[in-house]
Amino acid sequence: MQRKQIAIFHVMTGVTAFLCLKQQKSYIKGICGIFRFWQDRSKIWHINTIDRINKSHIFAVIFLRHLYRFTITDLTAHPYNKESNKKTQKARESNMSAITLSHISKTYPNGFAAVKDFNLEIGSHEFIVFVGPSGCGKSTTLRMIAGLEEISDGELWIGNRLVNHMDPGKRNLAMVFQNYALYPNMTVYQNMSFALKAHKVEKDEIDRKVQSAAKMLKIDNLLDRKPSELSGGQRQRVAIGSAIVREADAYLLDEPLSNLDAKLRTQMRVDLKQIYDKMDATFIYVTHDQVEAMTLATRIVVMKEGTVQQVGTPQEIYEHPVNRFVAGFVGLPQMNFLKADLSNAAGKISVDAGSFSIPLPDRLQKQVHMQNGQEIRTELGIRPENLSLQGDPRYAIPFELEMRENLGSHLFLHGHCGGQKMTVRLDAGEPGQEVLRRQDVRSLTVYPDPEKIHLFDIETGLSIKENGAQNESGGREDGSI
Amino acid sequence: MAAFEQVKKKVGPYCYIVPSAIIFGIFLFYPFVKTIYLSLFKTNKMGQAKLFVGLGNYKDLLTSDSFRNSLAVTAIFVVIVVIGGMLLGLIGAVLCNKSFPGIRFFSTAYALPMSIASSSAALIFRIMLDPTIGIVNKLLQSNINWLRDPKYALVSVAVLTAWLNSGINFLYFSAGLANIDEEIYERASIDGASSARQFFQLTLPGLRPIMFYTVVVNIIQAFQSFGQVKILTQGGPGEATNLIVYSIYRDAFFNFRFGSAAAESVVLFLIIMVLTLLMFKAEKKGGKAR
Repeated sequence: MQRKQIAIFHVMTGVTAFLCLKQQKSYIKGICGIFRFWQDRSKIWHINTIDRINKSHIFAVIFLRHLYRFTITDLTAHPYNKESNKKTQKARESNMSAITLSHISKTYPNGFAAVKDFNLEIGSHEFIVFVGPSGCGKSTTLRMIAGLEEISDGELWIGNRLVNHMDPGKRNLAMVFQNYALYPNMTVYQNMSFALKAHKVEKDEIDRKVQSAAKMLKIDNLLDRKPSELSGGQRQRVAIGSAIVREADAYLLDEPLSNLDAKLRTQMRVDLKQIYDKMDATFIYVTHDQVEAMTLATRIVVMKEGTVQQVGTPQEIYEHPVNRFVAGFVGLPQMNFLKADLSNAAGKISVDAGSFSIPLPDRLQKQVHMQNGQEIRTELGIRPENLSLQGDPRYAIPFELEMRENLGSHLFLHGHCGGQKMTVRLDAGEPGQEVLRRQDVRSLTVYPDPEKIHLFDIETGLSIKENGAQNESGGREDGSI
Repeated sequence: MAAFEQVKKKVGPYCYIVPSAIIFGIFLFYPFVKTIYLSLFKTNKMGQAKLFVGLGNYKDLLTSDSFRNSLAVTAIFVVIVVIGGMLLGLIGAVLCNKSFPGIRFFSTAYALPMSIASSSAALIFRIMLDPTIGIVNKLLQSNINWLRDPKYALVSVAVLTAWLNSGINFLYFSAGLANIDEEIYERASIDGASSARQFFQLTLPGLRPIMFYTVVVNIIQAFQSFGQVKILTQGGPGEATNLIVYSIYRDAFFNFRFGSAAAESVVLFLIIMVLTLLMFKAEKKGGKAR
């Protein structure tokens, strides 16, 4: 809004100057008249004064007012304000701090669509994590919620307020920035109390809140320092402290840990989780790190190229990814994908990858309807941790071992299966590891857990799921073929 | 041979500063020393020192009403110019800190005074401030003789100078604003801070380092304003706009009292030097307190 007001100021001065330059006498008279009127304000209001305000003044004023309204505040005229859905409004009233994003999208003036049709209901006391590769629109979405980016289309509700056009300061949100955004000229105490002061909270109250937040974050000995005298981890704590002193409807965190080193990051992750548990509040957290997403979230939103791929609890996302992207994004190391065709022989559907052929697990049989002799191209997805060296011989998969990484608690085997990359993760003490004693062993046989095999349509990338799988992917079609 | 090497080692480095030393010597140090020397003499019309009077020129100056008037006028002038010029520059810079359509035009407009010669600006202002045909009187529907009325003359010249100086201040402040992290404004707006609060608590403190430099440069610049006065008022009416620099000019080239003019120059130099030193001290103290 501020940017626009400044632009308007310029335009107004520009228009005035332009009119003056064009020697349009009436306008000059108009402006002069206003000036003189102001000069004469101490004198008695006499006919002469009124006479000076003529038509041109009124036109000038109306013109400028229209200009102002037209460009700045279309808020009151906005259609969303009028069509308020009473049903949802009532539902919202019962759940004050819930945030609803409905059909939110963001298109930049150059036509680039950063976020496309984003739908999400966030309840109170949820920890929502937006996760995705860089450039997927997760930060943009967060900034739209915060009010730092304008929403191109859709509705954003906080509680029962439609906030599309509301100033960021009035949305009652708190935000932690990736680069901390501490006020460099203020001490830690002043930084943490800034928002409270702006909201005219009483001094004693501010002091109490800042002290308790500082204690919670173990920065109570740093309150008199300037940000430039703090380490990265301490700055991060101050940034988080400045947010949690407030009683906001939601706390927005934009990649808050990505500037910290690995050890501090783990520590802060645990601390954040504890803070969340202590506070009865909604957190919205943006990260590209799937570990942060899995450990912190009550619900994860996986995004890619501006579109929501899947919304669900970390467990759901891990166990039932709706498509190949989500399956590949969540989990470390990445899920193994093997190109394999489904073929139907005598009513029994099997998965044929060329170098091996395994029967389709029973729970997936019902999802695949195919004629005798028909072939469907699919991709088999097996997580490295679901492969072992012993198992059902029907599911045997040949594996060419190339390299092993021993981390003590577990062992990674990297290699190929019929020319396609594959990784196996074995926990220490898992049976069948005797074959690995010989260092030159190359050919192995691995067995997937049939219950944890995923199958993806190679064209759409969608998962071919078993019945009853939890899926909240918001309007995506069913994965069955 | 070894002795030659040693001499070369000792003398060699000084050779590098000879060119600049010559330039500085001819155009800076010689006139400076000569001025101090002249200020101790009575001179003839050719500006040659004829009679040594010691501090006599200074004594005369400090007892002369005209010079005291000059000091007072200059003080008022400097205050108006520094405050006005810096405010104009700051407002322009703050307005142009955000990007919006037409920003190039506006920032050029705000920086333009920088590139206008003071005398040509003064010429234009002389026409604009003309009591009968000037646009200022037309716009205000007033009938004020801006340059001939002792009440307005000094203010008119000071405002013109403030505007002229605002261009370079705009540049300084723009650079200062560019150094402030955008993100803290985003955070402040989420924290619910009003624009005024953001300006006073984030922008001004952020401009603090450049502010000091700007104040120093502005004060020096203001003390040395000459062209505007020469063209607009010639020190008049009466002595209402007789700034020190103009009074030096008048003493030297109208009255041919080079000794007295030199003494005035030295006084002006001392004033500026003391002020600058004081400001450096204040800045150091302020820096420590923070």
